[in-house]
Amino acid sequence: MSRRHRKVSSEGLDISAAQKAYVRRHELRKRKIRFYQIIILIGFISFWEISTHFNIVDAFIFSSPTRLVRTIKEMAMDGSLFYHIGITLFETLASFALVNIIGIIFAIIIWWNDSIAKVLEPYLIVLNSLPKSALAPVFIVWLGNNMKTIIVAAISVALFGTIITLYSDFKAVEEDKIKLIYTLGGKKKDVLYKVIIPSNIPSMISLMKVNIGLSLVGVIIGEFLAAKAGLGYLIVYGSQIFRLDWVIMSIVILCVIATGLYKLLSFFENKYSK
Amino acid sequence: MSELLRIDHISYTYHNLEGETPALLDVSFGVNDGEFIGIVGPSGCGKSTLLSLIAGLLTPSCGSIYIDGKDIKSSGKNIGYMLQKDHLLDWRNTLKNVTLGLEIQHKLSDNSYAQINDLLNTYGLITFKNSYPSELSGGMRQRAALIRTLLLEPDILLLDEPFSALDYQTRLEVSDDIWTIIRKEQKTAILITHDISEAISMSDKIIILSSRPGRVKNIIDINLSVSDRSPFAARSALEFKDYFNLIWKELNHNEQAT
Repeated sequence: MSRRHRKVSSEGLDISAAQKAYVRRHELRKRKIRFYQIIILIGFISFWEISTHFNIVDAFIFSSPTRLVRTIKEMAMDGSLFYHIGITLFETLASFALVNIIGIIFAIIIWWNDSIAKVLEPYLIVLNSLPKSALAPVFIVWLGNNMKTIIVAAISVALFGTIITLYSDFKAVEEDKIKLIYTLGGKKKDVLYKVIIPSNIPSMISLMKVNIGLSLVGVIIGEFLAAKAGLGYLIVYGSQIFRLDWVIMSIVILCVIATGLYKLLSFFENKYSK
Repeated sequence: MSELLRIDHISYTYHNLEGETPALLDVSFGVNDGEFIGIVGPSGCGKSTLLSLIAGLLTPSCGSIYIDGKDIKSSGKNIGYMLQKDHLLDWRNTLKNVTLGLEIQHKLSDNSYAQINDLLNTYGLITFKNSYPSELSGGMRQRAALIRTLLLEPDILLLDEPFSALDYQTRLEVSDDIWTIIRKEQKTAILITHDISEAISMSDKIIILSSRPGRVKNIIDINLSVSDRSPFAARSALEFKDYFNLIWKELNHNEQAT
């Protein structure tokens, strides 16, 4: 890392005209990209607002930006907004944590014992390719119409893929690195702690970035079917009683939550790889 | 000099579903305490298998290996093994990498750090103590790998083409370095190599293996009339080219026979 610092500072000392021009072009391009991104957003929102304002589309069905702002304000005032967001966030983070913990432990077990891995392989493949939403009604019957069902449903969405990916990552570790541990007098446990886990931290983090999205998908599916609160509940309930303002607002908030959680993990990733 | 290691009529066969592949057949030789042995042979002749057997990573199909007259499994002797690449772990700095073996064997104590610093200092790595492998040159990485092995105080050092991943110039420097370190620490060493010159320049005795299944074809004692016996100086010895031709002929004769 120190090498990179040196490079930056040496650039700071004597910048040639060509280098300056290059940096300026780069900055310009970056600003242009940001500009068009914002234009698209503003364009979309104003088009939406104008077309509903002049009754080109029905604001009752399509909602509108002003109606959204009003709804958010109302629901924030009576606190129900934060209640629903809180429930969905809690369920997402709980299933995310459980998926990672169970996935890592399970992957270690089948890495450790090759026979278990071979025996379970077809089952894992079937469970991984099965559409998990098909399981959700079954969970309701088994576990009841509550949060347990939602969390279990969300776990089922991400868990099997996690196990399969982690296991193949563990298996992909260079054979000679493992031999090295044995030549130093180590046992299988040392291979696990000194090589397999530390060399797979980056792939675990990128897997977590996938899992946070999948957990959110699972929680929303679960809330569609078995919830009395949460953003998924709000979407389904809102569409049933024709409060499309609720539905669209929940979708917008989900966009924000999904992005926020992804950025949070990227932040940790950068911190680790530094 | 007493005999430290005895390879006694060992054979080794690999099995897979397509069939069996005999890798070594009835190999016997002895290694004296403090000796530097070179093993040469055509590729695939089971050289690396031989080292894995001595290190106890594999068990011979038949025959035995003795250290100090005791079976390797029960001798309690330490065997150091250097692989073809240094295999320093990218996420550990130099200090953490050299202590890996001690850590695994639970021998890392406050006292060991004095010895570690000493070795790092002697072999020019002390200023790179906190550097990561990506910041080290090929030679430094190889020296770090050797220190990692030496810290376990091995009675015998096994070197499996440890220089093959280096470019030619670095290779000459590093083999000089490593040879000097091994001599200084008075270790017994067994070196596998493809490079005949490297074998002659470093070894006291060269064992020539036949192509698969590997058998001992010949054992040649190397006596060079140079005052400075370092590998680099050894290359200018008068007898060097004669040994080279002799070994070259043995290896080629072998190719024609099979």
